[in-house]
Amino acid sequence: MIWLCLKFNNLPLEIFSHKAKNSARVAVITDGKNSKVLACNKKAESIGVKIGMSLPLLYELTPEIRIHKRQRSKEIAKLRELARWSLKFTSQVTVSSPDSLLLEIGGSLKIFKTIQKIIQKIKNDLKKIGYTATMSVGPTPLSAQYFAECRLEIIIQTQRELSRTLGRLPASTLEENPKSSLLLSQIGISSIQQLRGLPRKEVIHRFGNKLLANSDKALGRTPDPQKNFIPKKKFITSIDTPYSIRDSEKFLTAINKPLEQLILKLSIQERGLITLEITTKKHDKKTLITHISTNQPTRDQQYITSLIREKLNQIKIKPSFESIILEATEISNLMAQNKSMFSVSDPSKEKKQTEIIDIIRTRLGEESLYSLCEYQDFRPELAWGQVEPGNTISRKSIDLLRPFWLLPQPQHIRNYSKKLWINGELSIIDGPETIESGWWDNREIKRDYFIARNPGGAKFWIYQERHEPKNWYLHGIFS
Amino acid sequence: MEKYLKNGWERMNNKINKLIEKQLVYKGARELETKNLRIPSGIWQLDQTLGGWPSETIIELIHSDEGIGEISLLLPLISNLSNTSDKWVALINPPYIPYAPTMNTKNIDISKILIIKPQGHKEMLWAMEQTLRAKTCSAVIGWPKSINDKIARRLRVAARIGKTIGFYLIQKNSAPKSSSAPYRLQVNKNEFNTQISILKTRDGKNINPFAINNDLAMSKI
Amino acid sequence: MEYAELHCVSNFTFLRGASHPEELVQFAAKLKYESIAITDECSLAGIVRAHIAAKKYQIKLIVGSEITLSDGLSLVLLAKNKTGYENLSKLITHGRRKTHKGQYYLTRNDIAQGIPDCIVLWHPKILNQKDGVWLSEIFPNMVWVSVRNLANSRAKNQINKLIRFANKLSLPCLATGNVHMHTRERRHLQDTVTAIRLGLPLSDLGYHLNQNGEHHLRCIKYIASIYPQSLIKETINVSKLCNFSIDELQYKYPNEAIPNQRGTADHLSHLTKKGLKDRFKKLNKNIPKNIIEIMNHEISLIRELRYEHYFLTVYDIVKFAKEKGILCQGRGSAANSVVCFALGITEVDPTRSQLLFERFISKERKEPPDIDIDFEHNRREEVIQYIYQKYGKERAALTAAVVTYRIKSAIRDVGRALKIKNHKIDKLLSVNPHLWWEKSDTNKHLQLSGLDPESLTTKNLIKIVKSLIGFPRHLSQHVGGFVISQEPLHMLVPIENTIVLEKKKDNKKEVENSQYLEVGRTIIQWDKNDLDALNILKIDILALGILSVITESLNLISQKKNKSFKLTDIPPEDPKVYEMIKRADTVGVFQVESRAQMSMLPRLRPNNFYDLVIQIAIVRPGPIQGGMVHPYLKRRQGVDPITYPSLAIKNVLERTLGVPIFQEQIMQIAITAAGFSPGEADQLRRSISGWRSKGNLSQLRKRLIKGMYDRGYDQNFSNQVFNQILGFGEYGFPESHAASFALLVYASAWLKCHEPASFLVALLNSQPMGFYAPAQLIQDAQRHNVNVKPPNLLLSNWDCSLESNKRQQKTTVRLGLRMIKGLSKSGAQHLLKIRKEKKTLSHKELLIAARLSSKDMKALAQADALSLPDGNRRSALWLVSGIKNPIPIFENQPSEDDKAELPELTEGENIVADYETIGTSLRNHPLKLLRNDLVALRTITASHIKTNPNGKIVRTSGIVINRQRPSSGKGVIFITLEDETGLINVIFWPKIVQRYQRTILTSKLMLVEGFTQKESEVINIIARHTEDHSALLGNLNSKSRDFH
Repeated sequence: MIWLCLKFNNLPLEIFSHKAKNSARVAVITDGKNSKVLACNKKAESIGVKIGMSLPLLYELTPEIRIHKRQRSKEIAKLRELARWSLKFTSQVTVSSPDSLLLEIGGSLKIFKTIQKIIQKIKNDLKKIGYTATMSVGPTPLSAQYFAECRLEIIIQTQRELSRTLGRLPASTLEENPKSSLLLSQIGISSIQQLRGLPRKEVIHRFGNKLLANSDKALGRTPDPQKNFIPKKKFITSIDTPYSIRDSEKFLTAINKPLEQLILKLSIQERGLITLEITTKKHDKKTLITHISTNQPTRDQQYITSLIREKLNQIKIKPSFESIILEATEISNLMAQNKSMFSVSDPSKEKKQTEIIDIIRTRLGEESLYSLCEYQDFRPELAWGQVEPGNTISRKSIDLLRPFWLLPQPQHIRNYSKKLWINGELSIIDGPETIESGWWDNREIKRDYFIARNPGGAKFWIYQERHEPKNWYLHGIFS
Repeated sequence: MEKYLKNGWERMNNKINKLIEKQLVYKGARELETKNLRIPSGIWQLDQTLGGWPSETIIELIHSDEGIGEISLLLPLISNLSNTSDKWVALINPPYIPYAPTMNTKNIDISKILIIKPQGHKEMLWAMEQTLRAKTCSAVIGWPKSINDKIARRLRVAARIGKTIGFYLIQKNSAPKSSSAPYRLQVNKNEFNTQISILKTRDGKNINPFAINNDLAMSKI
Repeated sequence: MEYAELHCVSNFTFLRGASHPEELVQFAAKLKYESIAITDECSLAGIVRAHIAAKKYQIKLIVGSEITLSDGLSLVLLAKNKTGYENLSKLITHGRRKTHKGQYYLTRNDIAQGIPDCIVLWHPKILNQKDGVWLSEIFPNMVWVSVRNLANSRAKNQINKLIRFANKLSLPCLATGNVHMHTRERRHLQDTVTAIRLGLPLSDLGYHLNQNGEHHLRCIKYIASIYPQSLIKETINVSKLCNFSIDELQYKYPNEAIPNQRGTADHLSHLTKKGLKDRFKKLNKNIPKNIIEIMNHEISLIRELRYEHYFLTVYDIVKFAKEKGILCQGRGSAANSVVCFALGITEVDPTRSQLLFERFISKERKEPPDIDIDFEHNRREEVIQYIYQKYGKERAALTAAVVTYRIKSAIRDVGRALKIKNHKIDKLLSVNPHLWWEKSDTNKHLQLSGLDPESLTTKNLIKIVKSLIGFPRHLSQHVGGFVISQEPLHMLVPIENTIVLEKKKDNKKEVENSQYLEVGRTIIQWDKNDLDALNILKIDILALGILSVITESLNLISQKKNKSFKLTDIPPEDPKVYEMIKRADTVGVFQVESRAQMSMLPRLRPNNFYDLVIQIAIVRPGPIQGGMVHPYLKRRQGVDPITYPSLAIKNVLERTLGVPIFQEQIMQIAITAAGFSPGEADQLRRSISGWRSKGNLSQLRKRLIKGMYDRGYDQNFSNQVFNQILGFGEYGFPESHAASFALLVYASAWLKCHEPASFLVALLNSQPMGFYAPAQLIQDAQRHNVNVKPPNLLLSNWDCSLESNKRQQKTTVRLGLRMIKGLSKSGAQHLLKIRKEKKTLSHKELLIAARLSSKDMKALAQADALSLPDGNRRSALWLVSGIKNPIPIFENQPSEDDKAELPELTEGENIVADYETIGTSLRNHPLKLLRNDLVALRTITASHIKTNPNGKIVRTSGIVINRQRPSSGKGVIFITLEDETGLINVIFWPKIVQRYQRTILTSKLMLVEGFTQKESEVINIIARHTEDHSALLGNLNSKSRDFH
């Protein structure tokens, strides 16, 4: 077994690198209180920024620096992405948080011939995608990782070399425990070799088991099984279409089989479909035909088919393609979704509740349908909002006198010789209610609202701007 | 009209639905409607004269002007249904923004309200039929630009299939002279109150116009 | 139409009100209101300010308070008369004393007996008839329903409803505005403080905000248009019922200190005469005639102004301290009087220097006497507890300190309210805002922090911060100002708690029982300006570290000499002491150890006590800003002639060679040269220190300059005087103050000079205090031949101590276990107890017997304090890390083969570990080990620098022990370096700072090249180049003991 460790020391910084200009000074800081510099680029380093520097000191040193808060979740996602890429080189990859990958490359030598060649290939790839890593090779996974942690870019293959080189590493490499590291340095034990020279029983008595256990693993004296990285499966199926398809019903028939397969795959993993993309392919050229989305994750083939049918009815299919590809681009755990947005216990009923939404939207478009919610804001136009059906949060409201209809835009009211006019002269029956709010964003209002009636008996919610020229507007209709 | 049928909703309906439709329209419409289901309207004059809103059918509401209390006629019903049923109350093509804070103060559970804003008239009617027949809406209220017999009939059938109550509101000058809607009401306003005239009921009963005391929406002032 | 606003909260209803009480009162007067009530929520903290403003702007002020009971019933109480005021104050005290700092808790029970002579305004949230009936039973004929029109939804409808409701209950109605600010323009600020109070950004506040800006003082015409006339008339009727003025309050000083048989004045004069006799008897001198004269004058003045109780109370406190052996010393305007000298309140001998008592209490100024008493800092609490015990929490409380918004806190809180990202605010504040706020480069700083100066949010930030600065945030306790009264204090002013208790579940219950919290201290709701304005006396009980140092030094000397050695035994005017001071050899000496003082000592060359008084007063921001330092130096050195602009001024300035140095001199100039009355002169001084009345300043300036012009002084001189006044406002020392301090300077300097070992021990045991860390104090003492030994498990106490070794003449300082970082005091004390009981135990046995926590044991081992017979700190650590706690004694002992072969320590490693564990090393200075490397860098030592003349280029290096950036220094940075031979003072001018910013800010071991600047014996290096050699320190670990 030959293990290659890739340690992405600059991962916290590199996930942001595409955002910055080359000339900019960039630093990533830890989150939480008393932020410290976690990583910085060369430009920042050149003016004295150091890892571990406090934020105030950093600002004093260089006000012109770009700062990012560390984003662990992005780092983890990126590391998994890199793991998927590394499957090019071997089938056995372990993700070792927070920033390392362990690759078993013994089996890959048949293809790549030498270790150096593999490393060179990896280096080239990394350069292209803009990431850097320390790369070390050892006969055990832990030894490779320790070498990388100590930034030793070496290739160790024999047992003798291993115990000699590993022995020289700092003893604190073996366990990330500040207490142990401190005690080790205080008693003057700096290397693993020194540590192994102490009476074993006494070491365990003082430091616990982990230090020596790890050193045994690294030396290959005890087994160290690794958890293989398995990439997430894509839910994608396709079918070749030797004959030309124009008719949407025929199209539906054609995709019947792959859709069934897709749903089977989903059902194995207890997942449901949220969005589905349908693409056609001709000479490696892909064309997106349509996509459907559902309000709730679903595996109901009939229902999915009906949604596709509705979509297909609205488009013209170009007949010449070689294959159809179906990909579930968004899926969700069916079980997890069980905490219902609706107070319905019967899941089939729940499905039906949302079905009408999908039907309407499939034909009229996403924006054609929505639910309402109320926001706590004195500004009438901001006191309501559109939300996904089922996502209305009920809020405690205060009893304000408001109309049933609100105009999307307040309408200027004509006034004839100082008389307000909407289908007849208006008479004011209540007010003013003064609303002044929102000075902190760009939508400040300062208005006096009144209720007015016209001769036809219609009641209006009107207001006058408090500032000159004190115009009048219609904002709502009581009904 | 022909074209609209072809392009639009016909495709949507599967064969079974078509069958039922035919059956209902041409054969058994009257029999099925005589169940005479009623929903309390929350307006005592209506409850007395009609016994509440007739359910599983559609009602045409003609009003002279906007803002004269046409919605206040429906508010008790919406409030009632939104709080007692799990189903949606669909508002289709409302003329303005239905104001959520007001609904809250009128004791409407706004999480049940579904607003649908179709692009055109045809889409509007399609949506109204879909929601009426979906069986997941407790009431459907629409604001069509115009209406004719044929459409009214289709909507009536859809309401029956979906066991839903449907309203469409229409201004006086756009309202048809006659209509196949089984119920037609007209809202007028004078200086003091809102007048309701019941122009047509399914059983042809003649009911005198009545006034609802002032504007319900204003009652809290 | 007349109107009185009866419900109005100021910004003393913290984070609700958005105007100062003064602003509200002034604006109400401008709007021609008949009167205005200030009704802060369960507080009278702003009432004195309002009272002063009301007098100034001639409007009637009604005193009241808004109170919300635990069940939500909200009332406004207005005092009809003095009894009503007292009852209100009592109620507020009651509600405040039951619960935590800043909160109150009142229930219906608390008011069920009524609040006599108070009027109740009731604005019911829910129209509950029962509440109305209940209220009118408790407050018969004193309840009004308060009707608001704030242009809310359905306002008119609700007013009508409320009036109908009141009619049913036959309660009268009146109009109120629930005012939160004086003008509508404060709306933004009002919203913002709401956001701060609720801890949410503005955009998330929703209906927690007010709907509009109506909560301000509205003009009468508008009010008349929105309320029924009868409601407005009724405000006047109620206003006429309220006839209380703060001026009616009478404060009585306690009379505990006076024995019954004798009158107050007689008692004081008796004590004074007796005290004076004893004093001079000790000095073996007769009482000089002029002293007796001054004494008689003082006593008659005290009698006339009826301040006897005050002096007697101070005397009583000082007497208590002396009986307990707590060193104390009075200072302040009245402290340096013959009376105070006689009573033992101060030690400043009136014969030792003349003319010290110019600024005693004066008739014209009606300013209460001011005595601050400093106590040993670790024993002050005993004095405070004595006061509470003697007078009770009913009658004694601390003065409040109103904590106000400063630029930084305002930017932070407003930034949060405006939802500006935290890191942007951090970045903005990383540069001291005083340097850029409202200056030309404000925009640049905003931009650098990622804030667009043109954006609405940034503009709002600037605007709101501007008005928020100076707003009170909460009440805190004054450093030590006690108010003691004959009658319960709450008759005068509400009292509240200062502590925050941990929230307990049964907390509510506790409160319900209406028990007062007896833990912690109590404060009154007024601050020292309020007290001054009402002529209420306070005594400042302060803590001073140097007093503890002096006491402990004296005790150690007494022990050593085996006879009592007191402060008075220190011989005065010892030339050796002044020689030391002139050399600026003053590390550890009170006051004159700062870098600024040290640089001045060799120039000023103090020769006697009065020189010390001047030395202390002159090195202050005031005189420096006023440009007095150089003129004085030149005159003293005989370079410039000593001249006076007039004979009158000569009288004032003769003792300071014609240069004004003390606060009272400046005021006297205003009096003698500009024709100010003493009261006006004092007003001038006060108006400078208070930010609010800055508006007066230009007027006073005109008066001063004109007054001086009229009396024949030239413009230059009068401008100079004005600038000096400006500087003195906040930073000047009164002469009496400086004299008191000078005594302590002399005493501590004498101790350092003659008893350096005792002095070091006392300093180390009083840490943290002063300018220097223990390492520097120890090194300084070592340079003065004091032998210092490390902490030792078997020999050290908790504190540092003296070890007398009979063989050697030299006494040795043994560092205490307190020096060891990470060692708990309780653990160490237990260890010491065991050590005392079981003297025969071995190291290991002792450790096991003491059952220390493993953290404590490791701390001891790593500090090398175990002093194992055959081992070093490493083997000690190995040993103790093997002892697992808790263990039954003598069981589970570490196995016998627990010895491990650990690497030997190098000298460097030991030094590094010493610094890590006890903050210093007694082995060698780290730089001694690195000297070869440093020589290779062509640098010279601190002692070598001293031999260089002025203006020479030198290269030197040292460990950075101090970095200072004076706020007035415009970017200058002072750095103090240390090597094995001494200290090196370096000055970096802004240009160099810019060029070497990184090195200057981050180096631990710094190389500096620059010019020497030598004045007398003090050398500064003006840096022109610097390098960071911190990496060398990393090599220390590998340095062996074989150095040269």
